[in-house]
Amino acid sequence: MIAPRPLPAEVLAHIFRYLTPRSLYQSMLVSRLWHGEAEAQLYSNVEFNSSHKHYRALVPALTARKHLLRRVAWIPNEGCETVDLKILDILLDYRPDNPTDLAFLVSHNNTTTTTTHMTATASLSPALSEYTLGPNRPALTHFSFYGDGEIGICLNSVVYSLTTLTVLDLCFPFIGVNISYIVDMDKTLTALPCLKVLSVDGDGWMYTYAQAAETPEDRNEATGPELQHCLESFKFSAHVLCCEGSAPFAFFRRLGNLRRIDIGSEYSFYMNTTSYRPWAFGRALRQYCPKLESIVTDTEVRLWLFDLPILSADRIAHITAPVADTFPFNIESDMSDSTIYGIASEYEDRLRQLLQEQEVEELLEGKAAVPFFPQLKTLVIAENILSAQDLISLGVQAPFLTHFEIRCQPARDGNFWDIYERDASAATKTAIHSSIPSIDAMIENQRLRKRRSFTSSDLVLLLQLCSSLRYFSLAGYCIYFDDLVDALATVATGTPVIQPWACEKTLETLNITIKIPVENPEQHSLIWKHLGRCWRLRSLKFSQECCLVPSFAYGIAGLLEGGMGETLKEIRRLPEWREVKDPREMVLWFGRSCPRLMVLGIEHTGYVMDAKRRGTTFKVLDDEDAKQCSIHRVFVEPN
Amino acid sequence: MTVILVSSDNQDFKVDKEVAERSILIKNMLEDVGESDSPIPLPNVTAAVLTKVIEYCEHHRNDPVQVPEETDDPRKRSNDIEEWDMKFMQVDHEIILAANYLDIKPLLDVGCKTVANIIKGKTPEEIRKAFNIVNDFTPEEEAQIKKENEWAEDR
Repeated sequence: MIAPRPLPAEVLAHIFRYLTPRSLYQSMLVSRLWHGEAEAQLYSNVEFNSSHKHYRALVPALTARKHLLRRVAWIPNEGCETVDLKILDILLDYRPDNPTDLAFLVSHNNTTTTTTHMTATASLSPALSEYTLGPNRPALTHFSFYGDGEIGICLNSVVYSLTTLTVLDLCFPFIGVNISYIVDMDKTLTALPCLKVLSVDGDGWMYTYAQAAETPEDRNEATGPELQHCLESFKFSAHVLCCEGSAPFAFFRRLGNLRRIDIGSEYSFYMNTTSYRPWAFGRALRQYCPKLESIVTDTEVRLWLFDLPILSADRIAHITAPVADTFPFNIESDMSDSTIYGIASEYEDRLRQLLQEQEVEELLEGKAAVPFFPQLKTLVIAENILSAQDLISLGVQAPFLTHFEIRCQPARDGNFWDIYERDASAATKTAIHSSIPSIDAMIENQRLRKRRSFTSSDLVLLLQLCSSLRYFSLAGYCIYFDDLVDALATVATGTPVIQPWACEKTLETLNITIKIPVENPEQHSLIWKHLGRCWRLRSLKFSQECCLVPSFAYGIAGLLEGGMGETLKEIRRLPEWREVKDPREMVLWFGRSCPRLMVLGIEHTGYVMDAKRRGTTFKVLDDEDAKQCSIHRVFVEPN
Repeated sequence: MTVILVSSDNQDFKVDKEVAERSILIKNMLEDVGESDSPIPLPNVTAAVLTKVIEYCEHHRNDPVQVPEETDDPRKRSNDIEEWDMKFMQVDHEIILAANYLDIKPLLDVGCKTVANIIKGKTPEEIRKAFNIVNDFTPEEEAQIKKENEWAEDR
């Protein structure tokens, strides 16, 4: 064997990015060439955690190599109020000769309240001045802080001095008394002109955003281009949407280049529904952040995507009309109470349906709702924060939406949708009298444009309307066969007809669960064929709930009729193979028809009964068969 | 449309333009010269290696072009190699060097992950053996490196 050519330094640097400190330590001892690259990698990304046992040894090693530092995570002890001077030396090349220089680094004492904390922040120099810092400062790009607010002022002094940062991550996971940290967006943005990604996490009590100083002009227009910052991604917790005041979201006004927001928190407590102000948030972002294209939430936040202004009392004739037109009450005196109740509730149901249909019609016209995020491309959201109204409007008015993902989350609050714009002057209750309180309430809800949760048919509508979707994923949410079927066309032709999806030519990832009765193979065949129209799919995933039967008798061949086999790389959780005992034939069929298919995950089959083997690869194909196809992994899905 | 690539040992390879353009080096070359049938010489890549590289590009021709993520995790994972790629990478370093030269980022990534997996859990001596490297440290230097970086030894 010829000796392999040595790997050059640039390739070594690339390889070492995948190694842990331990492996880097071993690599350092291999040779001089390896030492240089491994050392650069080992000291480029460091965690300061005074509770780690290697902390004492790390500090001197790092002091001599601070120029290599690029990413730092700083995790001071809980309740720590002062900064270890060695850390200042490493981060800022700062070694004060005179101890009085340090006065500002000592934080407030424990008994101080938030108010004095604010004054203290204001009266102290926010950043160490340029010339007190040494010339050998590392050019840090990433800085993370995980600690409590006690260290607030020191933290500000450090953060504002790290002028080369592109990523800043502040996290306050520890709970304590009198802890608060003021995130001053204006100061942070001014101090860190290259910042691209900012993330602030912790409970709402533990940090707040400083009110941006406001001038009368600012109130109506975003800040001029010269003050616009380059920040692209901003993560904050849901309590931000509860901000009150005259211009509560003014701290967004310099974020005209913002592309992505993440709303979520690992530490936030449950928020009170009624304090959310999603209308004010949406309007502020529409005004300040016109480039916003991605919204990701991992929490139960009340977020609205569209503005549905409240209808004033004189503009609700179209809502009250159905009540007047169809009011059926001819209550005979001899009717029993239960009969009257029956009639009333039946009528209410019919009226509710009528009003909703009317509302959907208005939304489909695209005039009732105004988008808060007109450039939206990516939406990742918990199921119960998206309303039917937003979902339908998304289909009509989100031409750029390519990624739509719902992650299921159980609702915690029954009154979730009992929220409407309280700020509007029209929000005061109108006097409506139909003599039945529940009907008055229904009319009032429509007038206030209260949101409601969506159903499977609203999701189908989105698929039918949204023409640019590439990624569509519903985790834990089912679509019902009846909702896929176009009722009118079915009546006209006598056989079920499925309305085509607008995104069938663009979809690449589809994660869907279809509920369908098992007894009718023609219906399954119809669905397989319908899915087959999405011929660009690379990844097709089902979930445990899916009842589609994947067998030839149920028309699975239709799935590949449109040419999907050319692109398909992965199929996950293919539903249970009811009459198939031996999956070999089916796997082989997929393998032969899909030359790029690599991963095939199947639900439990009679072939593998052993629960222990779930999630593991199993050998379905013998070697001869395997040669004929590209499948590398067939496995039984874990539960 | 096809282009002709010429390996260092003067073998011609006829490849779809779309496939060849997985290499950013070739893509830029083609953009620079414009419409032209002249073959592209690749003096740093042998025919044996080029065959493998083309096989990789053919297999991944429909993959979306990677967008560099600025915010990605610094300590990257190396256990997410696609299985086809894992089989493919069971060869020597030449492919990595070629991927680096031809600027095929996904192939370079897979190659580097594979090498990283080889390094993991090995002692310096075992690494030297696996990569055919001569120890050029003096014992004093070795001791010094161990002392200064001992904090990382058990991490």
